[in-house]
This record gives sequence, structure tokens and C-alpha cells, in this order.
Amino acid sequence: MSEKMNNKSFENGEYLFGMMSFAKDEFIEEMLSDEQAEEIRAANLRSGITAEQGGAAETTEKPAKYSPGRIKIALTACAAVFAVIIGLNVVSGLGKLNGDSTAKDGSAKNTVTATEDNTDGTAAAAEKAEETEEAEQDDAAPAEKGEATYGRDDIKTKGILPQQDDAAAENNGDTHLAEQELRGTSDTLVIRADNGTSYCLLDAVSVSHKGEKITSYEYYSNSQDAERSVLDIYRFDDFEPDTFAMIKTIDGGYRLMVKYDLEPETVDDIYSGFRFEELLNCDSWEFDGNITETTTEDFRRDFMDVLFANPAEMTAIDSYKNSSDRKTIFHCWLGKDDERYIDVDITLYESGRLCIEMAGMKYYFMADDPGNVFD
Amino acid sequence: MLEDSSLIALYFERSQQAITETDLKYGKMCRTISVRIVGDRRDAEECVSDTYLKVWNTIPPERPNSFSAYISRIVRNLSLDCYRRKNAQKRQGEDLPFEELSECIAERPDDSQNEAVAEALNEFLSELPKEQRIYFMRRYYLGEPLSDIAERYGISSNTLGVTMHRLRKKFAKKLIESGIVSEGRKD
Repeated sequence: MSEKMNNKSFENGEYLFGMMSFAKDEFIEEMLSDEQAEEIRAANLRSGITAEQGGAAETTEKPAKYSPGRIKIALTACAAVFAVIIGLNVVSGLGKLNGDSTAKDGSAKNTVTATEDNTDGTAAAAEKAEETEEAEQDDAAPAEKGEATYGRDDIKTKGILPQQDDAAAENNGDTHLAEQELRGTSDTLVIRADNGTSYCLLDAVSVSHKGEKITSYEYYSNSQDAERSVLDIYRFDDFEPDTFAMIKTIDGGYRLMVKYDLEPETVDDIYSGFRFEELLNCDSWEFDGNITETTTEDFRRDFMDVLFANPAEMTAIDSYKNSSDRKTIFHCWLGKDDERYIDVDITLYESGRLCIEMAGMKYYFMADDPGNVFD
Repeated sequence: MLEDSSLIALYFERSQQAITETDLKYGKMCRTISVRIVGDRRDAEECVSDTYLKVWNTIPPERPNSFSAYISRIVRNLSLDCYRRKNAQKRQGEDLPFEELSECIAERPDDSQNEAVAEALNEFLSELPKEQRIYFMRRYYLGEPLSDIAERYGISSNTLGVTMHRLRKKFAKKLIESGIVSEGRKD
């Protein structure tokens, strides 16, 4: 017990420990139940297996139903991953992640496909179909319609054929073809920590399925902070409804930041829904608890704390780089209660294919140059 | 092993076989709980014996709905009493999560508020996802080390540590919202 703990605190803790005896019988029984333990352990290990051995394995537990929020998340996540891919190309364009902001042309292309999970997902599928229809309409000629382009990072992403995994291809008779035109910014920020580790923050919010720039953001320079002589980092504006950002480490790891509006009481509720699995060996993702939904400055600060105040995480990320046929980037769940939980599996294959599975849908993305994904 | 209902029936029959069967079914659990709290095997054994005696003396007339909860609560309380007797003024209990829980309250509520605290506790627990509730209970009801919980449920200790931190904050918030305690300790 640490010395800082005084007698009073000790007594307070002891008091609460004693009060735990007032827990209801049902909670005690639940805690003692071997069946419950097995169930939870199996679920956790399933996540762990996914994390370590590849998330494309079929998930046995599908969301029972799709709330509008879930669909919204799925679609936003899709947009997020689109942006990630866009960002990856930019990362590639940036070469060695050296922070050079030299303009790149927008010639990089990604293949983007979405396949519908055959077991469920009707609502999401319908939503997807609508989007496809819209996307096809938008395909006509964005330039002719006077849509703005977005400078150096303007990247055209076109979906073509479904990249089904074998099992899905066999079982999914009505595979949904998604053909979409994406256009948006892929502003990418390279972050270099004092220890030499670099991070690339990809803004995954500023594109939507239809290509509008749906928001703007600022970034903050932190160069005057001597202790963190690093970086610039984005501030997340009050994006509504959702904010996604993917952070790619130079070592091939990823981190996802998600903020979404399924009526969380506080931002802390949102983050409590995160679980970063061991694939990154960075499960010490910790926020100080001082974040409020409106204090983006706090958010920014804590975000930075996470990145740079925990060297162990960085070291661990280094070790992640290994070889396997496929790599699941991570598995996480979002939400604060069972009803709102949503599982997200993101798998990055050696081939360069990226799969994000959520809400019963699998979205596949293919970078033109697979090497870019890892290097 | 006997079903709990049969076990309780033995107590009602005043059959001493009840103690044997209880020890067979719940002895290990009771000893584990007690050892964690009192930190000494001999003391724990004494607590477990006292637990059996108390169960014997209270059933009947009591007929617990959940025998496992009933006996675990008894052994826990007896062990805490033993712990307090043995460790008064010593502030031992390094293996117990007192410090963690102390984050939740700045001041100990009056005993008159125990009922309100218990109500807040159960409300808090009922609002948690099942797995988080179980983690919380194992840590703060059983006093189980994080590493053991993590191993049992197949997660990493670090992940569990983060989860527990957030759970404590939620618990603190619940206690504050209930109006029975002020804000928790600031580190």
C-alpha cells in the first residue's frame, strides 16, 4: 500500500469494501457462476484470437438488431476507413512519414468494396443500397456538378467488385455490390515523438460517402511545449454526429479514435467503451477522466498524454510488427451498455486488403500498392 | 454435490451432514475469500468454521434464496471482523483493494447512511454490463487480485486495470449523485 494513503483514506476504502457485502444475491451468484465466467472468457478470448490471428474469422455473435445509431456508426466507420485508405495513400506519398507536407497529386486510387454479411444486416444492407444508389447518381460527374475538389489530397476512390472472403462468397447469394465515388480530403498529420516513434494521424472525418467535406477542423501546434517537443495534432471539433480518426503508427499499428453520439452522458462514457486488444500491446489506453464533451482542449491534451506519456505503449507497438498471413488491427466495442455495444473488427491483410467488420457488414478495401499499407 | 435446496433442507432437518456437504461444496470458496481478507490460513480456517456455525445457527429459521450468496457474505463479514481485530492500528491489508476504493469517497458516510450506500451500490451494479459487474464484484467483493481476474476471464491485466479505474469513477459518481458523499479523493 502506498505511503501516500493516509489512515482516513484507508478507512474509507475499508468501509466501501465492507459495504460490498450488501451487494444483491443475484450479483454474488453471477460473480460466482462458472458458466458466466466461461461465457465471458470465451467472448474475451474470441476477441483475443481475432486480434492475434485474424479477424476475418466469422463472428458468431451478430448484433440482434440495428438501431439507427448502429447504422450510423457503420456508415461513419465506412467513411472513416475510406479516409484511412485515402490517408494511407497519402502516407505512402509522404514517403517515410517524415512530416513533409509537400503536395501530392491525387492520382492514387483505392479499390473499395463492401460485402453484405449473409446472416443478417438487412437494415444496414438497405441503408447501404440507398447509399449505393446515391453514389451511382453522384458518379455522374462530380466535376460537372461543380463539386469542389480539395487540393493536394484530393483522392478519387472507386469501388468496383466485392472482395468476398471464400465463406461469404459461397453463402451470400445476394452479395451487394457497392459502387461509390469518394472524394474528399485526406489531411494527414505526421507526429514524431521524442523517442523517434512516428505517428500518422489521419483525419477520417472530412469525407463522407458522397464526398462532401462535412466539416472542418483545426490543428494545434504544440511545438512550444518543451516536454513534448513534437507535434501538431488535430483538435477534434464538435463534429456531429460522429468523429472518427485513425491513427497509424509507423510500425504498422493502428489506433482508432471514435466519438459518437449515441447519447453518451459524458465523453468518458464513450471511451469506457473502448477496448484495445493485445494486438497492439497497448491496452493501457487511458484517459485522465477530465474530458468533457465540450472541452476539446482537454480532449486534445489527454489524447496527447496517451500518445506520449506512456513510452511502454510505444515500445509495445514496435513489437507488433510480425509476419502472418493476415493481421487484425484491433477489435473494439463501442457503447456503454449491452444495447449499444457494437463490435468492430478491423483486419489488415498482407495482401493489402483491409477489412472492417461491424454491424454484420464487412467492408473490404484494397490499396493499390499493398506495401503502402505496411511501410 | 448437493443442490442448494437439498443442502438447505439438511439444515432444516438439523442433520450434521449439512456441514459436511457445505464444506464439500463451498469450503474452497469460503477459504479463498477468507484467506484473501485475513491473510493467514489459520485465521481463515477459523473464520470458515465460524461461518459454518453461523449458517447452522441461522438456518432455520432463515431460508436463503441464494445459499452461495448467503454463505459468501457470512464468511466475508466474519473475515473482515477478524481482519479488523488483528490489524487494528496496523493498517495492514496490502493485498486488499482499500486504496482503490478510497478513490470513490472523500469522507466516510455515517453509519446511518449505510442503507443509502447499499442502495447506490446495487443501483450502480445493476447499470453495469454483466462482465464489468462481475469484474467489479470479484475485485471488491472477493478481493481477488487483478491478475487472477484477468486470467479467469481471458483479458489482460492492463485492460482490466483500465476498466476497473473507470468503474471506480462511475461508482464514485453514483455515490455523489446519490447525495451521500462528496467528491472523491484527489490524487
